[in-house]
Amino acid sequence: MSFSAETDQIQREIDAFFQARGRRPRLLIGMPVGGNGRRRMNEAATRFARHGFDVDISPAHAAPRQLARMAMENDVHLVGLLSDGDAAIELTGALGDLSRGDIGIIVCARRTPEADGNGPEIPRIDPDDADDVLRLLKEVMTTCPKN
Amino acid sequence: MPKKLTLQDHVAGVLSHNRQVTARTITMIESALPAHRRMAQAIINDIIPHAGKAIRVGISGVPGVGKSTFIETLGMMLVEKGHQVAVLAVDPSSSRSGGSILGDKTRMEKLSLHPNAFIRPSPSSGTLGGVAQRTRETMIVCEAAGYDVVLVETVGVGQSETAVASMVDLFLVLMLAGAGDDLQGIKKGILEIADVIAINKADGDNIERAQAAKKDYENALSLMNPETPTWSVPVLTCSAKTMDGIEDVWNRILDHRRKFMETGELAETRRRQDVAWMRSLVEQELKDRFFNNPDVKQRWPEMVRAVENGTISPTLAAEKLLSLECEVRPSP
Repeated sequence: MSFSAETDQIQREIDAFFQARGRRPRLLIGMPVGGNGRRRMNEAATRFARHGFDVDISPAHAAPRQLARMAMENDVHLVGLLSDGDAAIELTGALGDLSRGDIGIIVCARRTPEADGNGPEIPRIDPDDADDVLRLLKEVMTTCPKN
Repeated sequence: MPKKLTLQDHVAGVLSHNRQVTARTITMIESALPAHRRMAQAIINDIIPHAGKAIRVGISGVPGVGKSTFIETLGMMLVEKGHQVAVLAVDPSSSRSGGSILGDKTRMEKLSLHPNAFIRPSPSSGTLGGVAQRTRETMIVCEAAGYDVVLVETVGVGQSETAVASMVDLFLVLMLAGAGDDLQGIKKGILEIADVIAINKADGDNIERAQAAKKDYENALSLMNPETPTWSVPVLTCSAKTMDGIEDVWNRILDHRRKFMETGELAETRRRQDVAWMRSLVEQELKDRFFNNPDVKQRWPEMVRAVENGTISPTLAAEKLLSLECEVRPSP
């Protein structure tokens, strides 16, 4: 698939999502304590916004319970972390505490061989990889409640 | 997965200050689905008697003026005074694909976590209602949920300022001490909607320049006729970084409120805004009905081609399309 064909397909998926749910997929980009790089956060946010997502950005070094509150307040579909490991596990718990365990968690990062098969089962999504983004959209579409 | 909320769930949740339900109610308001719109209208009808008690402040300023930091500082001061503060942000969509970067909370670190604050940026694209209509409804929800100060943030470009001015009690415009000393860069329109002007970043080396800018703005304002004898627009200086002058800005806001309440102008402004709200709802509904009319949808592409090819005049094409909507009335 050529790059523009892939981009068109993402666009179509987002449009379909909008038609079905009344809004765009909304994603909170969060950098948990210990994560590095505000620039990476902005880059990831820009990529997803270009794909057609609505993107919120958390303060740097937010604790998982802070990210959870922000995710709930902005009523996002997904939280995209810039690093995995403990933060993702804690965030899962924190979202559950707020009865928003339905909000998905992803790690926004390139897939590396050593990253695969390690740690908790948090999907790694590379915003530059159209197949990744399409897979993510499909997932959100199936899990996102209609109201 | 959270269960689907009924009308009663939404209303009870908002009125009991439930953060999660309040957030999901705002999602209903933002939604473009007709079923969600109907739900949102029903919710608004039920909660509107509980709204209206908040101080509604619009805050505008060009990018780089330090809006987020200002709101963080002012908001923290207010929650520490015991206020419940809601911050709504109207952001224009930034990208061609329609997606956008909404709230950047990187500069609202403390406020975004405070138990007495609620921050909700809203996308402005792709919805049936206009951005003003939705922000107004979101404001009603926040008020019904117990927030007694609502700050509506907007960027200093385009129509969003006028839209925000049409729903707040007072419009605060943040300025910077200009790079140039003249006033050519000041948009007259901004001065016309401003109720309070604050020159931000008046700290360190910048204090003198801020003072000079203050004089310039005061001179510019003195050439304009005040809208009401009750109020002449004050020009203040402040620093969101050092907190200098922030208290003063808030006191002026309270002063404005007190005076406008005494004269009855606050109530009158809100009545006028309500009428404008009704009008915009009607306009929006008419537009939606027209564009959702199946006959219009069907004929639209053909008319576009005809106008492009010059085989029909734009006026005649419009007339033909409009007559379709008049002949076929959709069920209400």
